[in-house]
Amino acid sequence: MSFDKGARLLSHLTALACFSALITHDQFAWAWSAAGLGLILISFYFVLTEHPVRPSPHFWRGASLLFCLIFLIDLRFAGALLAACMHFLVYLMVYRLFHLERSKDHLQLYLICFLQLLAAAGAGSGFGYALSFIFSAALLIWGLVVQHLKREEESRPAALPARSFRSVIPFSLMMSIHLLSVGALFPTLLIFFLLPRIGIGLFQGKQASQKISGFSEKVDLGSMGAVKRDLSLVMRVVPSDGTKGAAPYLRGMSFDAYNGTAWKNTLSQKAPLPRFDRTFEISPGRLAGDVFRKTIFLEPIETAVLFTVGRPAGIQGNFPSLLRDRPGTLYLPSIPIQRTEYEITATPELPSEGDREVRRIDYPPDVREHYLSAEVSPRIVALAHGIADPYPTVYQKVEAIERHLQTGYTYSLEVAPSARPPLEEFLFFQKRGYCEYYASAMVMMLRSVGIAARLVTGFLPGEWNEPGRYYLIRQSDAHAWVEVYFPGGRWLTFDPTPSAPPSGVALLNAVAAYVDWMRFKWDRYVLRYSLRDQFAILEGTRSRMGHFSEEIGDWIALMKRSVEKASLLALAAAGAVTASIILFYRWRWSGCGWYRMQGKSSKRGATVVYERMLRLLAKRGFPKRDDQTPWEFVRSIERGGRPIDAVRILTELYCEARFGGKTFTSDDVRQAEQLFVRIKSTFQSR
Amino acid sequence: MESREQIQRLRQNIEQAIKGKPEAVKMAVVTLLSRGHLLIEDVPGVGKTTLAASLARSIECTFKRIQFTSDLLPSDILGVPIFDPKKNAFEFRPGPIFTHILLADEINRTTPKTQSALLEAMNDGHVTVENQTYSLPDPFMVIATQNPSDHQGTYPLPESQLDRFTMRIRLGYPDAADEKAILLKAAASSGIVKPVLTRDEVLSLQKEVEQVTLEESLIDYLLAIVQATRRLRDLSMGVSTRGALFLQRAARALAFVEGRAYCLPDDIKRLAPLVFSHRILLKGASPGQALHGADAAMMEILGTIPVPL
Repeated sequence: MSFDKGARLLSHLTALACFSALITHDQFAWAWSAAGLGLILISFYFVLTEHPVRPSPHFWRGASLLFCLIFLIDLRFAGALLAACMHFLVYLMVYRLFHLERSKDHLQLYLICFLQLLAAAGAGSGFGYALSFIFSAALLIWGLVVQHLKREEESRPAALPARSFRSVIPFSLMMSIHLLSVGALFPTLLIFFLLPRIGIGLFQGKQASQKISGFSEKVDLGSMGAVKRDLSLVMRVVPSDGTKGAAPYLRGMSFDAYNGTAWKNTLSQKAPLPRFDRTFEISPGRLAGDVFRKTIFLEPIETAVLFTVGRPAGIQGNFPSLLRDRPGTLYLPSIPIQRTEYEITATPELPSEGDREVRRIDYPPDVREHYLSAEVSPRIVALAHGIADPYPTVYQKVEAIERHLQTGYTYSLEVAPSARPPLEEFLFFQKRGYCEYYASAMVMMLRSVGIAARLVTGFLPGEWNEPGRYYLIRQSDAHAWVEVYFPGGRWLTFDPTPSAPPSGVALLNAVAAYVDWMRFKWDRYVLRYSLRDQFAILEGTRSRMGHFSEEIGDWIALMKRSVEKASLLALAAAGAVTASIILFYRWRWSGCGWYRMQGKSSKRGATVVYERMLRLLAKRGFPKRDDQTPWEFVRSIERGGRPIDAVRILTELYCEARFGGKTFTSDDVRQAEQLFVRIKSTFQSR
Repeated sequence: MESREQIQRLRQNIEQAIKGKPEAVKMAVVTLLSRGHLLIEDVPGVGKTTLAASLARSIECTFKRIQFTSDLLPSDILGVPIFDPKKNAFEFRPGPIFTHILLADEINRTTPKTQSALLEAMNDGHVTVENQTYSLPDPFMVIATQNPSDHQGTYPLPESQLDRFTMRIRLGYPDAADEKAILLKAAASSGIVKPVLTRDEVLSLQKEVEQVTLEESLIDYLLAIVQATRRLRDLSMGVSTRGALFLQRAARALAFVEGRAYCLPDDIKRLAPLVFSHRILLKGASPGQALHGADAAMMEILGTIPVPL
């Protein structure tokens, strides 16, 4: 088999492997699969039998036009960009398969194949994808190496007879390429399995407190279901200036009415916000002080609540409308199923001097109506008065109660069930609880001493991701805290909950931070693809695979879950391929034998050695000018008064091979190596 | 290697006659082997004619010499048809050009008209007189000598004539030691050299030269030089394609003379000033200045063209 034919067949196999990845894709119609497969096989057959007939250029011109048309129709009527691109890729692939002449054609084919893999990964698929991906990756490495040799082959004079596949790629080379492929596969698999798991719990440090609730639109102290600590991602908050700044509380809902066990928002009538272009105005004309902007990437978490920071002035985002209830909580028109991206312009809500001095607040009627009613036991009222009364100003009273709760109680997620009302249980008996207990107790105690307050839920700032410069917020960062009314209709934030213990191991956290950053970039710029979607597909495929036995099913599900991250895998594989190519070049460049010894590449091999010598001499202060001929250069060094026999002989070897077409024997190679060493020692670094 | 020996013999033979000019001798041999014509230019009395004559006499073939003067006519070179009363017909009597080696001594002392009589002979190897074409013997080589153009009583060679010479060399004054040797031996040696190569040997050497490898990148290098001469700033004429062809042939011959079966960039760079500088014409210079200006321009060009690695 001739080398050229072998290379073509290999490219066909690669195309087949990558195309089968595409077939596994749900959005890829079977008709397309059949047509693509058929055409690949026809082309394969043509190459195999060295069939002389080829479709005419006119045919291809027509086909290209047709496919541009189909692409447009796909876009216009099917409306699916991905499907349209996939169809077009298939056409490009078939076109290239029928036009494989020079090595650049092959390389273009590989690029198309890679794009196919990427397109198929973009919407995830199944076990079949994993298989075809592994095959494709191995074949692509093969293909790239073979193409490199093909380029060498193309530089040979056309008159020489074509060489066989075996003579160009001897057994040892074949084995090393195989090893390379397998070697590339292992790190890939490692990344493949680990990447999706880092940061989701595998590497998180074990903590005593394993139970915490996520965000929900209900706050019910009565129901004590065991809620697992949920580390899944909720949102990423990117400060516009990239500085960490003061950690923001992400405010969600507020609650006004407490019935003894649960909180309720009685002011939930919503009204749409005014909108200008993409901007929704929340508090027009009140932008004073330190304005900051934060971009929030909110994952779908089964709530329509839009989280805000500080005192928001405006929100920019691609939503059709935005609703606000009376306490100021923002809602999307419907529960989002995709990641929501929006930018908040806000000012920090900080206490002013006046706030700290005020001793009595005249509450407006609606505040008095909703935020002062405290139906709690006299014991709590007495406790509140006992703590607050010694202080004259409102602010000091609030701080005193906050301090009392922070210092006198233990943060715990384990609250034993009891028959007593939850707040009394918390304040006087167990003296332990989590944020909702702290916040509820504080609100009730404030109200008992006549200070208007409300309970607010949302998220703590989570962890700062240093490489990506954003805050990463998980479900476990859900929190409840307190807002207190101050004159001017402003609500200031107080948090009676003592700060939670830090989590995780520092080093692994740093690793996890990098991983999350990569994932964020990848999701954001390549896939726009959320965990939730992946879970949905995972569930779907799992149910489809239901008839498999439980064990196999589990294993496949595990594979699938990883395959959803195949996009990352593709990236990793591309990296591995690049790395191996670089290694290959370095190996060749270092001139360790087989490459230069091959007769056909003496010309280049000699040049490589000669250039190495030039680089060495240039480093030692003898650069060769471009216009100098080899012997002029030798003479110019001679004038420098150095013994240069070795340079002379190496130059002669180079000239013979480069311009005389002399074939390098292994003796020549050895001699060249020795000469090089001699030159190196002669021209010691100054 | 036989051919190598032959060349060595030829060179040594010529060097007996003309001392201290190995480079000029080598170039003369290169011209012979590349089937070209040689123009030797220098002031009178430095050995131009000696070089030409010794080269010619070193080869066992016919050699004629024409002393070019201002009253020389084309028919004096080419020959004339003469009426033969016995046969009652015109018969062509060949001129001195019908020879293997023609020494055109002081070629620029004659008129351009007579100079041009050589054009056809040098290019095509035949001459046409009265619509009748006569072939010249093979090998055919013209060795012309000329005094620098600004000397008294000279007619500068027309461009078309210059273009037909493969290379133009200069001899220059010999250095003191060589000059002393010349004076010492002047009495002893009669200056007559014996032939060391036969005509057939020369022809086979010329054939072997054509087998010398010239790598493709060297052709690119050569063409880059040619093109650079055409882009020269104060230039009225650049190097012709014939010039490029001549350099290619000369490079092969030089490689051969140096005992190589392949050309090097060195060959081309070394020959380029010799082969090209009489082909480029600079604006606004007198003929004498122009020649020196062209040399300088060639050196400048060679300093800018990168040599292929």
